[in-house]
Amino acid sequence: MAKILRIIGWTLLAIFNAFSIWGALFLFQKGFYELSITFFVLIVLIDYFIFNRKSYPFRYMIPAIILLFILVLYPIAFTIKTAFTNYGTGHIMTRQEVVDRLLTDPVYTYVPKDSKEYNYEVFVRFKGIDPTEDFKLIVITPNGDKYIMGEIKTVRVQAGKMLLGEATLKELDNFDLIKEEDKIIAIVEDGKTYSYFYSPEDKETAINEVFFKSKIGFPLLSKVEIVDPEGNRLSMRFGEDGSLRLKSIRHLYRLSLSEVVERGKNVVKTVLVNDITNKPLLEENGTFYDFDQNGEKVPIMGYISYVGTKNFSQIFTDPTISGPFMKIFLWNFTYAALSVLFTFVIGLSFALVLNNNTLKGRSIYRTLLIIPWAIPAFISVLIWKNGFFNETYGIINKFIVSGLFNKDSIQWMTNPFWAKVAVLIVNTWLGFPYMMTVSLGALQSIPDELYEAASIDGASKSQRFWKITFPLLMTTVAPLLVGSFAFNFNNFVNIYLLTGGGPAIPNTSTPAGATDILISYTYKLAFEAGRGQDFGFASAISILIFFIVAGISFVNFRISGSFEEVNR
Amino acid sequence: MVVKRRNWLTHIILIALAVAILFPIVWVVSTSLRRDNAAFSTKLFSSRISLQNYKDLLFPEQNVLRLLKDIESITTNSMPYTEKSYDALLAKFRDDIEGLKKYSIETKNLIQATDKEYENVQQFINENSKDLIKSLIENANLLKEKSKENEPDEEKLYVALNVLLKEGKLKKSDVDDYFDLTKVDEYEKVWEGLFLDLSDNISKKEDEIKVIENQINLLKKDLDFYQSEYSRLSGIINDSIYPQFLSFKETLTVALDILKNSDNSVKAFVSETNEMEEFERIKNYLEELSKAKFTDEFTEFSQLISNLNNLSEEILSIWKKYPDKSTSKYADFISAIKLFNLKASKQLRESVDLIKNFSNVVDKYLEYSNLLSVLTKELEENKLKLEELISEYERKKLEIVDAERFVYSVILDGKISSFVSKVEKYNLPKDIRKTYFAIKSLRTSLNNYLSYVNDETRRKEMRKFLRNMDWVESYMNFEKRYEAFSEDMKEFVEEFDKYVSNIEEIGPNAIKSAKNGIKIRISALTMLFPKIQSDYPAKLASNLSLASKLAVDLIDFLPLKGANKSLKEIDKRLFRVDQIWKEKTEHHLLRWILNSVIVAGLVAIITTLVNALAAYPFSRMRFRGRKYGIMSLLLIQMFPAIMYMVALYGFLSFIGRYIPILGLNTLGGLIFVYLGGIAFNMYLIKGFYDTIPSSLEEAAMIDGATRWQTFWRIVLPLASPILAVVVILSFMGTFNEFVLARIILQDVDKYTYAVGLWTFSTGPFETEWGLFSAAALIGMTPMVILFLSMQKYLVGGLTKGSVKG
Repeated sequence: MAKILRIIGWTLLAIFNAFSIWGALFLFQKGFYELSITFFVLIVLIDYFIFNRKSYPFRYMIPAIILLFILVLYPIAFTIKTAFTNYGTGHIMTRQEVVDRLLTDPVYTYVPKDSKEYNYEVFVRFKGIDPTEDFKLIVITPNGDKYIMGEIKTVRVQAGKMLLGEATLKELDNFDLIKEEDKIIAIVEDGKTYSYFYSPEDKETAINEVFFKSKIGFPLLSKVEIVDPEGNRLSMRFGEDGSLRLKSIRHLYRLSLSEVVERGKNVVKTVLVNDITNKPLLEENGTFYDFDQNGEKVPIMGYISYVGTKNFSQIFTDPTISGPFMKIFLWNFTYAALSVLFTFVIGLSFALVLNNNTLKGRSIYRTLLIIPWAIPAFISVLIWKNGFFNETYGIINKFIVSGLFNKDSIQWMTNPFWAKVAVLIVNTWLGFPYMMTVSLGALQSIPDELYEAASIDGASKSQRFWKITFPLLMTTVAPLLVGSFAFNFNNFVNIYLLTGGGPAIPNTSTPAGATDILISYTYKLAFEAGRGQDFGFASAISILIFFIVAGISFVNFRISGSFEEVNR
Repeated sequence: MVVKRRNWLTHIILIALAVAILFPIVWVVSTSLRRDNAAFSTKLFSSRISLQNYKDLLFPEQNVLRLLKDIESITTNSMPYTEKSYDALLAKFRDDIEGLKKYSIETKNLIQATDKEYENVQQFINENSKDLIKSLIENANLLKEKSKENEPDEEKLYVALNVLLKEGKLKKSDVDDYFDLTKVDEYEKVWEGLFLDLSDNISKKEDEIKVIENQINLLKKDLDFYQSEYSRLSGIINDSIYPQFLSFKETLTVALDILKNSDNSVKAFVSETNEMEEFERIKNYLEELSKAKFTDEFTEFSQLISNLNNLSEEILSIWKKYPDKSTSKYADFISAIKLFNLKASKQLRESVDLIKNFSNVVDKYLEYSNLLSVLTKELEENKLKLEELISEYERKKLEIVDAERFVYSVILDGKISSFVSKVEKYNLPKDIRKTYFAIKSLRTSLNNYLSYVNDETRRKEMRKFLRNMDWVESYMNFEKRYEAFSEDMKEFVEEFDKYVSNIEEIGPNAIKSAKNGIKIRISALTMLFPKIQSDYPAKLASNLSLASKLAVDLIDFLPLKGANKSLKEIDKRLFRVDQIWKEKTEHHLLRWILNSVIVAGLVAIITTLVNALAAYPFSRMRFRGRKYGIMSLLLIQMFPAIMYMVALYGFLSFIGRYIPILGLNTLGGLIFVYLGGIAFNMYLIKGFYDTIPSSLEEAAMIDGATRWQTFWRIVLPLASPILAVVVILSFMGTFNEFVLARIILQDVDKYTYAVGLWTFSTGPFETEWGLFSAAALIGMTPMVILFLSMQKYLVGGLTKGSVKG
């Protein structure tokens, strides 16, 4: 029995290994280099854990390690890499992909002046009375020769869709044709009948033009290049009357070798050359540039390229970024510090009141006061935002500000100061129960004898608080305060749901807002496409955040001595 | 004793604070139960309560419109019925038709019931007509009392009255019932002494100002004309005349040059022509032109003209003295002049007229604009004077303002008396319109009077008495709206019944033919949709909601409370009618909650298992990398997790192409991403393992159990309480996660609860507070209960410094 289990186990391991290696190779082939390396490292590690007796304890951690590697370490590595690139809107693809795209994408073709126009006839299969997308194409050369288009072969795929296809022309003799007075009215192949459907020259079929254009011509045929026996490349392009015409085309860019001076050396490099002007494209800052008639640079397409530490240095050098960035940075610290201060003061006050043994119903009050913490934060924030801080309907403006005090409505969302006030109010409301609970626990652990001794010595009430309660409280609570600071430093949901970081700071090149903290700023940079995404810069900032939070936490560990606990 | 009293104070403060702090929750609960539109309401809480928001979210009713849509898809055999058999379709169709009929009957019953209640209200009003009228009269009398003013001395009174009459604020007919108008004439002299000069001056000044303003207007019209003329002419001058003149100048300079140079040329025959006569004539034009007036804009041009003039003069004077007129030089000169003449004669003749005209325009323009500025100045002075006069007049009037107030109070008094005597005879609800108009005229008199009252509280008080009569207006409108609605609705339902029976007849055939592939649209059905989707809200629902609102207003306003029950019933039933007929949007809340539960449940179970495994060696074994393992886990947690999404987004979209359930916009992908957050609770489990005595395991191992077996059979079962806690904690954590879900999920029916609730707070739902707060409450109640029951562990974990909220 044990033997069988063992065999099954080994087989499973073998299958797992095989599958993982295949997966890693597959990922590598598809361009996910970091992920592929992650996979390889994982396989090696897991095999090592299993075959090495000494690393027995790690076997328990294999599932955790798999998840950590794929879902945490790989993204971190990716982020670090991205921080040194210009990855973002306009720079989404790798250089190779961009070159491929420029060489093959039908967008980058042109119709030369001596282009020949070919007539064509479309034949489709019908299902009942409805035409289908199954079709045959007869191409009529300018000399009047007729050919049938063969099968479409996919040449280049992007994002799962055919980017470019190719097809050849075949002689008519190989097909069963049904003719009526010399005119072909149907093609039969493998028992399937394709009936005459549309031709741009034949006005009687104009009624079918829309179907052909929207279902076959534009989505498929405009991406296919048909090679005629003379070697001309034909493709569907819109003619002047809006119908699709079959024209001979040329690609706008072609590859060529050229000598380039790079770092003082002559290097032979592949460059893209514009087919019309015969000028090579310029590559600068991860972007291909072409030249228009006036010799002006025109950006065509960007690719991901390494930009060194530009993402970090622009925080300090670019005035349109550094100004708002410093504002955000300062506000982030202010926000975290004030949140901790307010929540702690309020929480401690409640804790002091509730830490009274003679007070009846203490637990009821405690439970009631803990509710703001119990409600999921995003719900509370949405309630505050929607019901309370709405500038027109919100009940604070409607019933308190203008109802009770007869003042003008407060601009909670559009005035930077009031937006900050709103954010702090909500965060204090959300956070004080935590501080209350923590302080209550700490207060209860202070032995009563200390107070008794103090009162015998004639200490006043405030003396007792400042000399006994507060110092003893701080020893347990201080690390939690630092932890709370670190938490609020990255308290994304509150900011994002309440104000969305707004109101916007004027005169910036990035989507910075007055209540933005670093993490929400990062989120906006990376995921809100309004002004274009900038993953590179966002990654750089998140690395910065990591160091700040890690620094704070290091202080925290020093205070609380958490590491000693680990060694216990 | 002292301690107890303090506690009592503490309790009060604590309760007050707790109420303030928990107010958002109170608000959510109360708003979720309201059935009026809370966002637009002027009241913080409402008594019109229903569970409708919850019903709409959790158990949406198949109301009329939904049934009709269902029938449409049945009869055309389209989604979701494409796969059903004919019999099943027919059965469903019959059910739906039954449903429609039931709604029609329910509506009829409701209307019948409200009609009855409406009659009750009317009857109540009728029965209590005397009392209601009495209350109106009471309020009127209170007003009367409040409006008592001390009578000023006669002189002031009649002067004031005179002023008001003269100012046109009052008419004689308004006051001759209350005052002896002959006295006004008696005191005319006093008035004259006080105000005559002033008012005369004022009216004079006003007349003057009017005259000046008229003049200014006329002037402006003329100025406009000249302005446009000026710009036209100056355009011509600049564009065509000036460059030509420049070329003239060149020609003349050449001619002069020729003339001036000493003559040593050969003799030549020069045919004497009349060129010079012509030239002289042209010169006259130039002279004339040089006299013309130009604006600053044309200094260059006028200089050019005088230049030309001088040049030609010089030429003439030299020519006259020219010795030998038969040299080739002279011939050259003559030909130059000829050229000039050719160019200039016609041109100059024409320009003379134009430029004369132009200088004329300039003259006029300057003259008029000067005049205008003079007049404007005068006007301003006059206005200033008028203001002074008026302020003086007002100052003088201050002396008689008490008297004026008295006049209005007397008028109000009289109005109230006539109001009382009128209303006394009225019978409600028959005379409701008359009563309304009586109150309306009372209101104007009151407002006139109140404009003289400076005391804010008194104004408020008096307005309140009038507001106590507002129910008359409300009732009148209620009557109008309700009757219109009731009538229209009955008609509407009857028509609806006809359509339904038509559909019922045709339906089975339509289904049969649809099953055979020929889809027929039932015309009665297509005609019904616009009726309910646009006719109902436009015609009926507006009256319905107004009647409903007025009914509720009447509950507050009516001085007698006996009709409240009926009014409430009307409001409630009308609300139900609306629910049956109105178009409702579909909500996916249940779907979202289900999604959230699936995601959070799976994530919680998987991460707990993984954690339970991984925590074991940290607790029981000593190995290299143990300390660094924990430290790096802690460190990893500090990296902003949102940024993971940049990498994982691409990864998910890639994986989704091969394993669709792990792709973007799927719950599987979301679960996968959430599994990255495993590190959070490991420490909690490790702490619990530490408390399990290792002697148990040692004993088992002595009995021959392997390490794995001791873990699986002994440690894990013993740790099940903490595992349960961790499952619940991570369930809560995942349930409450918003950001990653928002990025990964795109389709409405794939949203988790958190993302779904967010959509309720933005866009078109921003003001649908009822739905939002109900949805929020549905989601937060279980979470709050879970949290409160898990408090112990959370707080325990907190003080150990491992978990954070």
